[in-house]
Amino acid sequence: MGWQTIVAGLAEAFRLIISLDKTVLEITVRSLYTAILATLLASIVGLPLSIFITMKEFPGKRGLKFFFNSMVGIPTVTLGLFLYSLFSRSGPLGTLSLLYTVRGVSVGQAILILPIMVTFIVSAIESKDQELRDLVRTLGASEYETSIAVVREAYSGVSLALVSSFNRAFAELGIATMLGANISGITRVLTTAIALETSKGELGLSFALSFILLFVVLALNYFINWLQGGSS
Amino acid sequence: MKYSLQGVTKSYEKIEALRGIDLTIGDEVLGIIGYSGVGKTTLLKILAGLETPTAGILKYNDKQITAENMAFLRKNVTMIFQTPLFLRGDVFTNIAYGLRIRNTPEPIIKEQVEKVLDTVRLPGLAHRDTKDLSGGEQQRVALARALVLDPEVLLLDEPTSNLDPGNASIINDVLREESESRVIVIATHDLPQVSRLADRVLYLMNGVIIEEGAPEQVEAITRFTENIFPGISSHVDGVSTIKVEGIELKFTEPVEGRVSIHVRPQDIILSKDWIETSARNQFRGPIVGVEEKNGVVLVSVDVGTIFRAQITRKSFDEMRLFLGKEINISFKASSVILL
Repeated sequence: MGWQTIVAGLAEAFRLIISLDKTVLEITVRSLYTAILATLLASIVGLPLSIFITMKEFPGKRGLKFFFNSMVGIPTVTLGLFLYSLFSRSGPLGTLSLLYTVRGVSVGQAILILPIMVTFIVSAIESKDQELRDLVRTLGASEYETSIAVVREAYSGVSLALVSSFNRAFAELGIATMLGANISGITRVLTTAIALETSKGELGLSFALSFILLFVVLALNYFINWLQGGSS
Repeated sequence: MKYSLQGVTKSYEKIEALRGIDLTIGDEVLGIIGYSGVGKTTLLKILAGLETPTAGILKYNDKQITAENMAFLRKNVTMIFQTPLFLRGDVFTNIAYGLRIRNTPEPIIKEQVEKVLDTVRLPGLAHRDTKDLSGGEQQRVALARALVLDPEVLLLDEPTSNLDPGNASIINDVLREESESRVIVIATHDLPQVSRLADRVLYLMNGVIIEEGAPEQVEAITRFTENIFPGISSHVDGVSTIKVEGIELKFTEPVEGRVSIHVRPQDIILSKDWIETSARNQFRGPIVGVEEKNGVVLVSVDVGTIFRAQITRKSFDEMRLFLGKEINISFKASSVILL
């Protein structure tokens, strides 16, 4: 094995993308779908939670921030295993029928990325200091309007938090494996497919899928960069 | 009475920023003077409803202000900060912000923004990005952003301290016009400004009101006006240097940019010759004025700019000083007070 494999993988990736290979397309779209859904779910909780943490003083605030900080690096398999036991038919959340479904994987990924999202957004908002809050409040803003203004001013940090969260969900393997089980046509996503093809010795296809994964991440980050450049 | 304060105290953890302030404010222009860090900003923030007093009673229009109804106070009064801060976007977005959250219809907002830009002498600037404004323009836009809300009270924290004289005088003119229609409370170290604008002055020191009265009655103003110099500061290797009219003063505060400094006349040492001293500032020049007041003598020395040194009558006699005599002045870097 050597450079040829990588080059061949790159060529294969191009071929698969250009020929719009059905299986590859389906896996890629499913990967995007689960990660987008996970990011959405996480933001529904994460955005208000972050605003609450930054704007309010309450007992245990430091502890909560410390908790989210330390959960940023949680191993995906550990979380996957934990959720597997919750979601399995005999588990406490078995009735939700989330195991081996795309929705289940998204929920798992949402829990995975929530700490990243909260930690990043909290630090983005906190970097917009007290002065900004004082400014909008003296112009007559209510507490709610103040939080909207602060999030809007912390826009670039908040969007970075969302993109990083999406990237983490999109590129993780542990939860997709534990909760999705890599069922072809149902829960197979890019990362689980790569793991499977590699274990089968199909390095060419593995590389092709990996390059697609990389390409999506890069394209997204480029897009966000461009968005930020255009608006500031 | 707009405001009435009884025993208003504000502490931050260990520091007491304000201690038992008793004060009433009516329809007037009130100046607050004092060195930095004596509680001027804290007092303004309490009047603005941005900080709650730790103790004491604050009333606005005879209504007691608590943490619950501070929003009511903030709808009627607006504060302008020393360093203007802007929301992302252009001048229009910033000035319109307060009107928009009050649900003012857009055509009226447009009209009001144009009108207030005229008031601050910046017509046609609505669509300039705030990042492209000069320091003076920024502060004038910040003033416009407050005035467009037609507040009952306008609170200003050192609005002209970082500005060149041109912009400062425009702001002073606008404030004079606006004082007809609203209460103005201004914290400043620009004593000529406070003397011209204010009906009444408070002199604040360590969180307490030391003196209070009309500008011409407040002794702090007369004392304070000696040895105040605006200049450009740079900070290198732990020492700050400020250039004032061709001479360079050393001082200790780590600041850069346009600042104003003050040296107390009693901190200046006069000597006939250069002396070897730990004082970092020593200059030479002729005596251009001598004035005796209450047993002390104020000696004016022109070393490029005029410094006033305060010595006792006895020293003055013993040193045999006279007008035109060349003399040295020296003072420590730490005697230079940043305003």
